[in-house]
Amino acid sequence: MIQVRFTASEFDTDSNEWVELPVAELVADGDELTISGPHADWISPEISILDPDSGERVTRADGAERWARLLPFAYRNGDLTVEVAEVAAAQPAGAAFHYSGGH
Amino acid sequence: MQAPGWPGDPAPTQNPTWCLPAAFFDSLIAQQDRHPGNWRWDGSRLTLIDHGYAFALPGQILNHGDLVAARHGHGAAALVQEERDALGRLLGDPELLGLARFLLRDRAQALADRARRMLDRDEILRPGEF
Repeated sequence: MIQVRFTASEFDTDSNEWVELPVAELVADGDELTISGPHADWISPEISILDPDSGERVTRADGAERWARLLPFAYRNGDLTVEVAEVAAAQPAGAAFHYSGGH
Repeated sequence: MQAPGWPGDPAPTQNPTWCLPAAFFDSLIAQQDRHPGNWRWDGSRLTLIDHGYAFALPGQILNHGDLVAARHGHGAAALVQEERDALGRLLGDPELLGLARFLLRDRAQALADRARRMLDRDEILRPGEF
């Protein structure tokens, strides 16, 4: 199971520090995909991602977990931080968009 | 620095007025990865981000060219006068307005070739036509 956290950063002028803001959490388990979080709609499960190692276009149909591992390469700009972790289990909170594989 | 607006909104692809200039830009620079995560939309303004895959050579891979596809899809591929003028300025400068100084020679040549093709056809190129 692959868990991907999307966060943004905002500068708090009161504390003079950067504050991390949650954006979305994506969980890929086999061919199942779940996206949750306050801005889950910002994360499109329909985009293909270029695999920098192989040069291939990878879509969710190629395997949700493989696709999820490549998400940092889809969101390279830096205003969203994308962290990928292999986890044994995950429980996304809040309203979630759920996508099943084999489309 | 953070771009204004939010990612993932397909709105710019749904109104040709909103995607016209961006599609021209992406066509000219041979942008290879313009998907909704690589723009920001704030309801009235479109901001393009992430140009890590651009200035492609002919035959190279296209991942996403959503704005170019949208402009063609809306039947709005024809150049407007400001775009013809911009291409004329680019091609009128041997240094391609400075771009030839930092692009590899073959990529600068491909940029000039795209600009010429756009002027010849009087429209932006097709998605993946680098």
